Amino acid sequence: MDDNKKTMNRRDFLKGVATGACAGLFASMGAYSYTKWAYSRLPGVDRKQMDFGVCRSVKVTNISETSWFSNADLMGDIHAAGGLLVNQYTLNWAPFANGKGPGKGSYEDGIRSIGKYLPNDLDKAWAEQAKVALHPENPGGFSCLVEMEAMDGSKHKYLLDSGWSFQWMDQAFKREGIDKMLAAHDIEALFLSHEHWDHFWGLPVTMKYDNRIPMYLHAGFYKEGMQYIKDAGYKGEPVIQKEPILKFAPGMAVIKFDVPIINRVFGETSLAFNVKDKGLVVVSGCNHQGILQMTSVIHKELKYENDQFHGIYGGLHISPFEDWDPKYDDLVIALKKWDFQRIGCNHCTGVLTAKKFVERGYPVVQGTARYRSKTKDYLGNGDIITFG
Amino acid sequence: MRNDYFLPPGASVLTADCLAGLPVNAITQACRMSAFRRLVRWRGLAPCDTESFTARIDTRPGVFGMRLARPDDAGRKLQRAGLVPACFDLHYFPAPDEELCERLRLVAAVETQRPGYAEAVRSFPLFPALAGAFQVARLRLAAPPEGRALALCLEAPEKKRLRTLQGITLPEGGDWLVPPGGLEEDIPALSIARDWFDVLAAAITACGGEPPCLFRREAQPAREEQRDRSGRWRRVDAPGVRAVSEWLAWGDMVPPTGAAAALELRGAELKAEALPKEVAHAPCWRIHSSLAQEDAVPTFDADARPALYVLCGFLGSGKTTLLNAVIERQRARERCVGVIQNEIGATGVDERLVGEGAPVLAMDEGCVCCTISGNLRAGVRELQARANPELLILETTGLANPLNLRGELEDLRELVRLEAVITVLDAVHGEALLAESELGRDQVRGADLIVLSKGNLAGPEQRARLRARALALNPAALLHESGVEPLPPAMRSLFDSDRPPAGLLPHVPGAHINHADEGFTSVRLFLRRPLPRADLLRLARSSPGAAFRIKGMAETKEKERVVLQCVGGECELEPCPVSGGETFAMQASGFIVFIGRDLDASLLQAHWASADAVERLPGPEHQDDQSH
Repeated sequence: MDDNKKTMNRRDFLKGVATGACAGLFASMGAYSYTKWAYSRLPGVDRKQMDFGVCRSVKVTNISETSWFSNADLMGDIHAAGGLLVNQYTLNWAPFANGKGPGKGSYEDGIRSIGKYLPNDLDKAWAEQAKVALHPENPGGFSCLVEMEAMDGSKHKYLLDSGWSFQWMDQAFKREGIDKMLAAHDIEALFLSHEHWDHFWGLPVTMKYDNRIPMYLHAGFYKEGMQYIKDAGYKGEPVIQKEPILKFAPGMAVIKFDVPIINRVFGETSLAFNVKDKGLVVVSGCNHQGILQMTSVIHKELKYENDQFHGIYGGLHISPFEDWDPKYDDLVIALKKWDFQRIGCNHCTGVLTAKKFVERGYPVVQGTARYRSKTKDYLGNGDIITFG
Repeated sequence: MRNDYFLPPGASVLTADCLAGLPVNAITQACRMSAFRRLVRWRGLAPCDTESFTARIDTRPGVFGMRLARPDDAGRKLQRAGLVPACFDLHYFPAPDEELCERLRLVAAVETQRPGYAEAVRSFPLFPALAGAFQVARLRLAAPPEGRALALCLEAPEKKRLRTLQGITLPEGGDWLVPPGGLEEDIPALSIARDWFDVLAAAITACGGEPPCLFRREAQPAREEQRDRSGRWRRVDAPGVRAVSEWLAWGDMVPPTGAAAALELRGAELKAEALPKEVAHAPCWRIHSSLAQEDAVPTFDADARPALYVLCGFLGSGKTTLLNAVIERQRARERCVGVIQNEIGATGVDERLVGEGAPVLAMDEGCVCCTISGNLRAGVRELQARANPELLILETTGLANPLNLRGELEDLRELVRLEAVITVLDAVHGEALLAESELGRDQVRGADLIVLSKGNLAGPEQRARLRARALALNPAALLHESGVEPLPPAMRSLFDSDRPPAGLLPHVPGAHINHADEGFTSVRLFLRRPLPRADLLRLARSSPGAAFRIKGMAETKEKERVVLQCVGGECELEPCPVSGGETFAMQASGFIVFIGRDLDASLLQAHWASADAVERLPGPEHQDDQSH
């Protein structure tokens, strides 16, 4: 060895490489530091690409995306009850209120006061609860009608979620003709995306018109939720999804995400459709799993047309843990990265976020801001979006 | 031990998938407790794919990357012991300017300096050949099949080393980059990994509702990688370096012992004094006491709370101009400014400035001082979670009384450091305002800092009188003047530093008058001709566009001063509470503010033509603060 050589300062070397001065030089010695031990553990990306068929088109009618009308009241109540981890059934909101104040409600007290009216006398049930609930005028609800056209031209209707306020949802159902479709058994299934108040507590409204509709839900419902399905008047047997992906019909799958959600709710399911010649379409409640999680699961697990994400409908939840750095907005990044072609967002997406999408030129489908929806920047109540 | 953050409530048997998702789920859930975020100095997490994510904490400048690993021998051993195992690889990607970069193996060190490194880190699993070089530890989870208990293990060498016996030279007989027998890589893997391990352990503790019931440390001689003189790779003992495994367990579980248990503490033995120093400080031992104090006023040893400035000032005083100047300056310093404002003010913030550098949160409902407690708290949390800004500015509506805000702001102390209330006072109209409006005077009384804006539009005597008047109302306040330059030079340093001068906040007495007597804008019209009461109401009710709120003050033809209030289509007139003098100090008999969307100023103006409505009063002194 030549002991006359000096040892070069490592920082100088790195600077040289970074500025290009040592780049070629490094290429000639790059192999030095690769050892088999360092790299043996990282498996490559393994796409399963399960084939779940194709459908011709998907049409979504927004029955209601306004889950509540005053965010301040909602947050105030949650905060007063003790925060984001408090059991939702104790918050003292209708229909599970008992007049004892935030955090002191109970499923049993609520159902005792209204059980006898369910599911047929919803006005009476809600009026009863309005006497004791915190902010009884605040609830609205989330629900949408999904119409899938199969390749043979047959059309299939599904309901995603049943909203919250009995009064608001009953009106919304009537506005969109859902009541008659349910009564005529035109709607083939009800999917409950998750157990939250604004998606699930309006269940009696669906039951009022069809108490035997096939019902699908995430395995993470708590015992109160399971009991509510019975107490709301359901006469069928709910299908509890345990598998990560349920192939439901050609071109339609239900994807289950196991995530803890605020106020003691666990898990969310989303609907995925493979639209012929277009690509994948997701219809979601809130997307609590986060858009990055959703797209990566679908990318890994499912095979879809053109390997292309085509469209999305529903809430694009901004979850608090997705903020890695102020420079990165994961929602914006994800929508760009996956190149969605039709974005029908609303509900928990947030007006500002929707505006940001529009400003960035994303293909956000505009709404009409009717029936108390807040902005035309997203798909509001009564608006329709079609994929395919 | 609660387990419903990783085990679905209906499920009775734990699967490997439940454990695979546990780190993200535990952190997600724990992040809903602000005490957790504060304690672990949380920054954020971004999933890369279904099995990996990156995360940041303020403890280190770089990025942690965690990825589910294939089952290994140790995992199989746990399985044979009747447990469900999961293991993860933990990587640490240093920030490019971190000293640690120089101690990485060359291939990794060079990568840290390349453009695109930060982007690549965000999706590190796509670069498996490279990511491995940044690995610092293996993490392990194990739980009995019914999921009633849980154990977490950290496995890392004290030093991760790569030695080259022949040395590495620059080509053509250049200098040594690594001398013969020297270390190409030498990183303190255990202490780096521990920082992340501590976060995960704190999250599990917070979600599970109980502290760990077991601590165990095992150690054995570590190995290092070596390239010998003939170019062969070997793994050999690293003299004086230990490979450490540390277990924590919750819910009465004792993980199977390895060969070399050095220290195990359980039950009564598990006391802070008995733990190794670096372990005793971990947040998992004190997270519950922090959570219990969430609503008390906590102490902050490592204060990561952002500074909060509250910006007050009457309609048109120049708040938004000042705000934009602050954002621009901070953005140039790469400091993130979070802005909270009422939706109605949002129109004024310069979009070019807030697009990238400053997240803006519009608070949806009404005036901040009516709804602040629930709303502002949620707003601050959301901004912190979304962007973790160093600086928060709450821009109030112009109707807000800072004296009423004080109590509410006190309530945010766990989230923010309330630094100062800044009231902007228009040098042209300020004097008249202070003469007439109790709210205007309260805005001055409640300020820590008063900015006399638009000094270039007022004469020297006028400015001197206003200065004297403002200081008479609030002798404790600092006072600065701005003119063409919206941010007074003396104020620049205020926002630049993390620690503004202490004692800015004087004590302020309690509640004062509330608002409901003035208006704020999306579209503002000045009425130059008094209308009969009935016309005022009729025109308000039939106003074109989708105003969700209309507010105004006007002098009626009947010579009364009234406040017009319209909310949700209901319009009413109330007597104006402002007493004495000329009410408006302008060449108008009143003004009306329309708050809402899709408001067409020219349509509104035409609608109000009988009141001779104009958007702007003539004369340069009436420029409002939203005309840049």
